[in-house]
Amino acid sequence: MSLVAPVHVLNVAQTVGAPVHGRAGEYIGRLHDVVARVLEAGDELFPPLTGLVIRMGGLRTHSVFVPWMSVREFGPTGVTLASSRLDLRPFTRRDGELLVAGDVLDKQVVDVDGRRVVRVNDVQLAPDPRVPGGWRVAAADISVGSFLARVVPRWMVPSLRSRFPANVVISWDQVEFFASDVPGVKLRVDHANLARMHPADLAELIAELGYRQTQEVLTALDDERAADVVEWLPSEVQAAVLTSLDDEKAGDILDEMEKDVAADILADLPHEEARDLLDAMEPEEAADLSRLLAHAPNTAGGLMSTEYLAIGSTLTVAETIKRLRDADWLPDEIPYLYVLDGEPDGRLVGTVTLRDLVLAEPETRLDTFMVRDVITLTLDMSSDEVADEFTHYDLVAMPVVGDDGRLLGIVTVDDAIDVLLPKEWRPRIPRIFH
Amino acid sequence: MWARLARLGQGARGRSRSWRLYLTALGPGLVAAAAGNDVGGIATYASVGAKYGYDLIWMMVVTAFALVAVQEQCARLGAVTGKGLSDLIREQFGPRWSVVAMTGFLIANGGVTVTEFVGIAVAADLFGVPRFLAVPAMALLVWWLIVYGNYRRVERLFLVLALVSLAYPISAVLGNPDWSEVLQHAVVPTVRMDPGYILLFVATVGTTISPYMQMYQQDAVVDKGVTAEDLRYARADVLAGCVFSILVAICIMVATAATIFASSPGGMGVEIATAEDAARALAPIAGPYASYLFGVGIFGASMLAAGVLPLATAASVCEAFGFERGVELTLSEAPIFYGLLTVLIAGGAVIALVPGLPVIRLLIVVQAVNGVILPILLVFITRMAGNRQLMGRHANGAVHGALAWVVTVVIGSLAILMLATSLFGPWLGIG
Repeated sequence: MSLVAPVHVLNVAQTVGAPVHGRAGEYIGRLHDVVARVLEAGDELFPPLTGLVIRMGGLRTHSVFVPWMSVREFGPTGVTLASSRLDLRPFTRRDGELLVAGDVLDKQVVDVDGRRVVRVNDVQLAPDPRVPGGWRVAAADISVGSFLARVVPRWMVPSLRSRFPANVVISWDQVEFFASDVPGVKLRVDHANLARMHPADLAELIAELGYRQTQEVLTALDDERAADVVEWLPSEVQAAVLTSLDDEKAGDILDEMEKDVAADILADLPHEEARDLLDAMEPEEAADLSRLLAHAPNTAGGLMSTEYLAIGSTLTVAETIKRLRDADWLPDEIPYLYVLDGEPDGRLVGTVTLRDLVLAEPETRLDTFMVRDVITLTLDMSSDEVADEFTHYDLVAMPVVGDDGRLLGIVTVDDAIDVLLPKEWRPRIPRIFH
Repeated sequence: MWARLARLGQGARGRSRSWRLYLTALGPGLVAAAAGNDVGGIATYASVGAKYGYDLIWMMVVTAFALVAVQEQCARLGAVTGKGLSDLIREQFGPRWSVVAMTGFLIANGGVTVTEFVGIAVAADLFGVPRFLAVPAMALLVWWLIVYGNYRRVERLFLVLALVSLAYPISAVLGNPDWSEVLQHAVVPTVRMDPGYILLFVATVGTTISPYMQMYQQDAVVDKGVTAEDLRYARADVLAGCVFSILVAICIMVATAATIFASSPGGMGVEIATAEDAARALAPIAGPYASYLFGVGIFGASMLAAGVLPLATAASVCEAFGFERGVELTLSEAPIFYGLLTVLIAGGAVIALVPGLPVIRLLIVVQAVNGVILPILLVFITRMAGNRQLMGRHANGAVHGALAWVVTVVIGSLAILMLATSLFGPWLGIG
């Protein structure tokens, strides 16, 4: 559905300031703003106009509200009211009311379709096809012509328009505006459109926003989604973004993040702040993270993650697959299953890939077909040595084992490769394990 | 906003937050201070010292308070709203006023960019390199580094070179000035009513509180993700940066006063006309190598600002008007951004090469233009910082608001006085 039609579109910026007359043609004041309702679900794609704010002249100027049913004519040259009686109480806005000119004009909004942050030069209103006489917010106009039209004197606008038409408009259902730009009232903006975007795109958008808007977006997303987005942010930004959130939300996001990335972020923070964030996390996740944090960042211990699957060597393929199905948590990617000589923390004796698992007969025991020669890393290997091992053996993940042969964690190739790259390349490298 | 932090690549690497925040927050203060003492600043302060001795030092003390008041407002605007200065001006005042503000920024920063290339030309002269070779080559290098290279990397090199301005405090001490006289002039104002004095006065204010410093301060605070809770760190940084900047400026005045003014015939003071004159103030520390030391410092400061200024200005203007911007975009994705950037750099280099430019005079006039544009921008800044709807409980209080308006009005009146005396001075008999 699109309400962007060439006929009957009104530009808010060009309409605001137009004279308002009463039923008998008497001058009342000037149009100050247009009120739209964004509270009720279903209306949100194209918010309906509920009334006008009129600034009345006189010694003490003040603004009054005129509900839509009292408006007889609404056009670029002016507004005529259906009655001459006005509610003269000063206008105060209520929750869920959007002042189209005051809240949206000149602000930055997200163009969901174009996956970018844009600045609104004008807002287009269109007649509501379902409600006779009703109007709705139709589109955000970001064209240069609409900016210039607001700079030059009014009499120059028509000739300007012929050369610079309003040619870049974003249908309002693709526009996400920020409630944090509208102080004082509650606007329900659920950012459902943003939640549907790819985390990489969203991370790129967030990189252009200020911290208040970032807070708003990340708070609107569910924790898992927010964690994905934070993982996609450039590493230099992650800590700054997390600390700008309140501790509770930051803790929830850290819970959902990959442990090695979360550990890197916390390692960047000063002790007391890292402590606060750990306290805000689930105790189990926090304990995992604390263990990772104990290792120096430029060693295998610092690079490793504790998100892997380990399983006893005596299990059969069928039992293993059942375990995987029943597990309440699994890593996003499973390059290898690590086979131990006893559960839960025996020595590492082999690896199995999902491919091996699928192809093997259900009754086969893992230790009959697992790869026994596992190339391992030790905790204190430097990150350069780790990177060398990865380039030498061309693996996607390598286990880190202790002196006693127990499995401590795994390093994935994306983290190992980071070491080899100049810093500014990193954000462009696709992360393999997302 | 965060994107710029990523590009700075100097984000979260420290271990202690208070230390790190201070250092990252110290970044803007230090850079602004170093940039404030660029070739235009040095020329202005040196001219003041050479012409009027210690007479104008009291003004630096007054200016220090104004500088802190202005810069703190910008840091606070950035920390509370999370938005850059041009962004906020557009949102709060609409398209027409943002065109006014951005035109002001463009003129002021464009002028300062010209002076940076003049600085490169001056440094080239001092080292015996033909300026018609050096200036275009450096302009091309700066442009290439921004568009295709990593300007942030080399920026630090220039910053280190620019720290040569720290030679002035040493030179000031070695020059053996009469410190009791310096102190006395710092507290007791000396006022004169000749156009030259007022021009230097406005130029000094304009170079100490340059418009780009407000832009830089607020944007840097936003880029680093400083929030309203971190405001006290940002304030500490503003204070440190301002004190540092003012102290160096006073030292440049004292150093020139103790050397050039003191040796002027009859103690009447002289007008500095060339870079060699200004370099003489470094003689107590560098002896015969004074002009080389001066040249290195000027080169570093000029190269630093010749890149930062056009980049920040182009980004700011595009941000206010909603054009695509950023060095990670291609030329065809952000034509206006790259166009502005190129025009600023190329224009600066071309104007700096006009033969027979009165170098010092030009540098000072540009600073005076900054001093005229400054009060216009201060109106925007002070109104926003006092806006309770925007700033909540962080809005200017009665005292801070009053102080900010006094600063704005005083600087504005000075600018008008200067324009009046330089335009109508001859008729009024004070030219």
